[in-house]
Formats: sequence, structure tokens, C-alpha cells
Amino acid sequence: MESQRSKVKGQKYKLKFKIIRFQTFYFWIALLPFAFLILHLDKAEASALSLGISPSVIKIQAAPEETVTKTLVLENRTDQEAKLGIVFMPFQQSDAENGQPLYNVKKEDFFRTDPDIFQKIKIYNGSEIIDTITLAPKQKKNLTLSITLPKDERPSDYYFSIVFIAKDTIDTQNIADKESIATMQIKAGIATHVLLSVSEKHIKAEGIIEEFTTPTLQGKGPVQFALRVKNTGNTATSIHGVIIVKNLFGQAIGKIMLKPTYVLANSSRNIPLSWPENFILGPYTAYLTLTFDNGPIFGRTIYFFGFPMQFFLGIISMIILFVLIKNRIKKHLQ
Amino acid sequence: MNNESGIMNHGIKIFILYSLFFILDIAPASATTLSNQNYFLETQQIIPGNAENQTKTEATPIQTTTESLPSPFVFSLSDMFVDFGKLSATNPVTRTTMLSIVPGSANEYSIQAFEDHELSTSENKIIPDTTCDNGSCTQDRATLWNSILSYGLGYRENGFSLQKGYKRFANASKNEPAQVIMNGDNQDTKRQTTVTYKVNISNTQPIGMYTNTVTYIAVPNF
Repeated sequence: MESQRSKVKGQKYKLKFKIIRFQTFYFWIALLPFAFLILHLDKAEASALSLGISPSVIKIQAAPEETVTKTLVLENRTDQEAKLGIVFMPFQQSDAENGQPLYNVKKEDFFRTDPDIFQKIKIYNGSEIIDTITLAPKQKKNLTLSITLPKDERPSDYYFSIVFIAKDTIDTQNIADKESIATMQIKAGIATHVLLSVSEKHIKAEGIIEEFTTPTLQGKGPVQFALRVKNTGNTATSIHGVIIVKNLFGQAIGKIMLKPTYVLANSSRNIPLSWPENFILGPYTAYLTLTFDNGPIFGRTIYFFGFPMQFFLGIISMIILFVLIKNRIKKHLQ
Repeated sequence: MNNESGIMNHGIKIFILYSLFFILDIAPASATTLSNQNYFLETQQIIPGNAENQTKTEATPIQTTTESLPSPFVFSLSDMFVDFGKLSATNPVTRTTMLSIVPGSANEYSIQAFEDHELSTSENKIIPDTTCDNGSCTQDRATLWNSILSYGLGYRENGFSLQKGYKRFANASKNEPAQVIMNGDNQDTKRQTTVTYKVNISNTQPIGMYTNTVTYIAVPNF
């Protein structure tokens, strides 16, 4: 009798414990959305400065006695006002020839043809020429880049970035903590590039494909292609292209589009490309079609062979294993 | 049986709670822009409860916007000011800044950085840029900085392959060009990194208010 009572008691406690456990579990689940609300990721990543710019490259071909305008959009993504200065910074391509600009251009080189070129380039906010701008919280502003060239402007290419750079906002003398003896101000800016070619209109782009290769024998994908293009003309050019990959049966099984890419005048550009196919088997053909702006169209074909060594080794070892087991069983049965 | 229905009730309550959460999670009204070939429309933020300000809409004719602009290249950073506090000899101080990039339409990008000068006072006393433990780190080469007897100002970025490896900033006052501290491509929709600054001074460092400015420029590749 006593033991039955204690059993029932024990079961009751177990049940109570179960209920409490369930309630606690559901309580935490119910709390989860509020935790997400409070720890909302975007809000957690509070930024002192967040700027957006579009487009990232502006290519302009302008003739003498012409005014060209382009729109660019600047955006303040923070909840604070952003005061920005506007700076033009000449650049040249880095030695890696990957489209990365380096701001170590000698002034005498950049301004050789026209020392006053920057006087002819203005940024407008509406009808007002500006060299600083204040963006309200979350404000997006359409600005106009305007280039006005005189009649006697000589042909040349100018590559520069328009950098919107946050102006100093903190006076180090007024920092609350007077004990501080080492402080660092941080300035931040965002750039958009201008590739300006001063020339008569309709100059045909010229160029060559210097390299289009991939390893002939490949064990697995993705298949990497090395493409190197040279602009032999005197003005910057954009290139467009596509690689079509065909299999043994001539079926097009892969298409790799070239992203919008620019090649500066008289220089080369490395463009790494990748075909994201992991399993490759047999012979393949890759056809490259490439166009230089309004210039020539090039075609290039390369061949490669896919042989997944690991896959075949796996199959062979499985066959060997199967034969061994079969023989063993046969022996046992005999 | 009662317990089961109790659990059911809990389930229903939680379901309602979740539903409410999703229903009430309405994105705040914000400024939007619309445009076509002839007009650019900008609607201001909608402020609930204030009828006068509810929809301020301006239509401004613009001249030439036939091009559709690609998605923006975005650069954010967590701080515009770094306070190392009171420095004491052979007691390194580190601080961090978070940088992030949304590549948008930029295929590839880099963040380039430089300082205007070394940490210095108005009387031109300086805390030099570090040369790390073996004296060989530069603005483009990271080496180990672990010793408390190596002095100066340096930084490391999360992507440095060498653990505890530091570089010094390119110094604009010495005509050193800005250095790439991070690069990437648009494979990632957003990339974030942390820059860690480190300052360490010797016993002989004169007392003073040391300061400098570091500039980060987010640069898309062309």
C-alpha cells in the first residue's frame, strides 16, 4: 500500500516536472522573437559612417567643344548627418593589372596635356556647383558630373576617382576624457572612377587577346580560365564577352559571362574567370567571344580534358573489394 | 488529458504570438525615389500621426537620365575616432574599428588606408610608427609584434596571414602612397573586417597629447 502511494506520488512529481519543463521550453520559444527584435542584426551593426555610391565606374568619351553630363547617386545610410568633401584623385592601374587603382600618379604626368583639366570638371547638386555636400540621415542624392571642354582641348585620357570623404567632426581638445594622451581621428571616403577620353567621336577601339588558357588535364572543377586582354588603342575601352563550354557531343553545357570590365589605354588587363562545374569527364571545348567597345570582335577556342582521378580510383577499389569478398564467400562455401 | 490540452493551449498562444510578431514587424516608412526618363520623384519619410507631413512629394524635371543606375557600392565603418586613453610605458593598448563593404555593382574592390603623419603632439614630439619585433615590418609587410619592448603605432587586419602580425600605416607626410588593407570581390554580398590598432611607448616617451588622422578610402576596381 505504502509503496503504491509513493509510486503514485513519484508519478505525480514526474508529471509536474514534465509540465514545468514544457512551460519553460515554450517560454523561451516565446521569448525568441523578441530577442531577435532587440538584437536585430542591422541595428547591431551601428555605423559611424555608411556611404553608398552608384555607379562605380563612369566612362566618358568627350569631344572638344562639348559638354557631357552623367548622373551619380550618393547615399548616407546612417541615422546621422554626413558632411563630405569632394576630391578628385588621379590614379593609374596597379602592377597586378587587375583593375585596382593606385593613387601614386605624378602630377606632372597627369596634367601633362592639360594642367587645367580639373577646372573643366564640375559636380552639381541641382544647379549649384559643389565641392562639399551634407547628407541628412538616410538621404540619397542625385548629383551631376559635368565636363565642359573648350574648342582647343587636346586629345588625351584622364583617369581619376571622385572621392567623397567625411570631414573632421571631432575636436580632440573637447574630448570628455581629458586624461587621454593618444587619440586617432578616422576619415573615411568612398570613390567612383571616371575614365575620361578626350577625342573625336567614334574612335574605334583596338586590342588583342594576349592569353586565354586553362590547364589541359583537370581532375575536377571549377575550371579556371586565365584571360589577358590588351588595349592597343589610345583611349580606355570597355570589353564584353562570353565563354561557351561544349562537351564531347557538341552540347553547350556552360556559359560564363564577362562582367563589365574596362581596359585603360595602351595597357593590359588580367581577367580571371571560372566555370563552376565540379564534376568534369571527357574532352571539352571552350569558345571565347570578346568585343572591344565598338571595335573588333575576337574569337578564341581552347580544349581541355576532364579526368576525375579520385572518382576512378574509388570505383576501381570498390570493384577490387567486391571481387575479394566474392572469392572469400566462394571459398567458404566450398 | 488536462496536461495535453494545457500544452495545446501553450502551443496556440505561441502561434498567435509569432503571428503577431510577423504582422507587427512592419518596416519603417522611409524615403524612396522613383524615376523615369522624364521625371525624378522623391518621397520624404512618412511620419505617422502628422497629417501635414504625411506625404511630401516633389516632382522635379531632370534633363538626361535615360541610364538606369546599378546597385550601390557601400562602405561602412564603426568609428570615426579612436581613443587609446592614457598610455603607460611597456603597456600596449589596442583598439579596433570595424569596416564593411557591400560590393553592389562593383566586381572587385579594395580599401586603401594612410595616415597624415605619425602620432604627434603640437610640439612635434612623436610616437613613431612601429617596426615590430625584428624591426622589419613596413607599410606593406606584416611581421610579428609581440614584445612589450617594441614600441610605436601599428595595425593589423583580420585577413593578415601572420598571427599577431602588424604593419604600420603608409605615411602621407613622407609621400608614401596609400596601401591596400583589404580587397575582395562580389562573390560575397557583404564583407566585414576588423582593424586592430596597437600603441606601445617606452619609458623615455615625453608626456603629451598625441594625435593623428587615418584615412580609409573604399575603392571599386574599374
